[in-house]
Amino acid sequence: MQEEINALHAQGTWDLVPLPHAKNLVGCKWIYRIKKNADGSIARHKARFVAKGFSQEEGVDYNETFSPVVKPTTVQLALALATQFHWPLRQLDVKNAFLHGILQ
Amino acid sequence: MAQPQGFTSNLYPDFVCRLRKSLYGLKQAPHAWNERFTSFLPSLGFQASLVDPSLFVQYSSHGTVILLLYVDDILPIGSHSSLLTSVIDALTQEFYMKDLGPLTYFLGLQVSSSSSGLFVSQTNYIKELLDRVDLQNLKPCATPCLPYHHLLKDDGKPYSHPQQYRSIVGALQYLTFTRPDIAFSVNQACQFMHNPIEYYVVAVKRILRFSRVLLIMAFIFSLALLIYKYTVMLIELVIPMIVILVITQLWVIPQKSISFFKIKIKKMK
Repeated sequence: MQEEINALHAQGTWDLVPLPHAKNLVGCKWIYRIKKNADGSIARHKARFVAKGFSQEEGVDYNETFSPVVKPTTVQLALALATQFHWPLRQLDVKNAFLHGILQ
Repeated sequence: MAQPQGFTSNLYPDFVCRLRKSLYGLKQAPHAWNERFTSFLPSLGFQASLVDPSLFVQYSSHGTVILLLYVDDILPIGSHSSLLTSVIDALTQEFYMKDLGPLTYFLGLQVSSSSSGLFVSQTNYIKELLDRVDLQNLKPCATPCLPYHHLLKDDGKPYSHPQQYRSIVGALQYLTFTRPDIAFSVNQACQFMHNPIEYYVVAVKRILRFSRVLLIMAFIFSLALLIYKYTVMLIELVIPMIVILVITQLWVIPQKSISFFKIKIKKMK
């Protein structure tokens, strides 16, 4: 939980302000999850801090929600190219990806 | 946004949080992340593809790097490992990332490489799908559908869980990535997503029963079959891509499944 709060602070996710007049206040809560290893033993307790997005109104609180999805043919092409030319393939995983997004 | 429980400010308990960065759960979070990442890529010399917005290519005199983005999963492929490493370093400096090393698992695809090519399978994906619908013990079946059998539009009672039908068929559709053998049957089932009827479920179950037989069937991206000189230049063209794929892909059917089919054929005789 502290780890998550630290990540949020490190990102400068928010600053504290008095509630502006006639604005929608979005709720928030903590989600707790137990991450398990492949053998079923407990790996770690994870806390994720989330906003209650369901109270947001389109056009008022947000406009765009679109995020593209990769096409299977593109993946196949990339793999075919990698094989053909002996290109190395790597894999990256972004930690807390959604916390990187900048809001207007 | 309200202040987080357990971490309310002592000085200003009545204040609220004005968000500068997105949070999980916000409607605009996926878009904000995508925007942030894709606007950083051009600074590394990447160009977004016109064909697929999640494909980025960096051309230079040193070589080419291809980058596939699926939300927070990133698959970089480079013509030289030094070039690839420099891209990964630049990305890890900008974002908090973990380098998972050589590709082994991407979007439910299990990938293993050998000297002869890449071996791609969705064994775990099928297993998880069967677990999810609680049908691990389905009787295996030799074909994905009955011959000369069409699914008709108004043929019986509507199915009581259309969401479940859609979810299974959607999952099967993704399975066609490594299993073109079920593509036809899945396409048939897809045509009734809006209004599934009870007996289509039987057809879908049949696809699942068939998928189970060839559980570890995989695609091989093989080297032996193809020398195609201009593939990199053709990256923006869709048609040559299909040609390349047709030539580079080979099926591998495990010995055990072949004997299963032989027994079936004998019985039919």
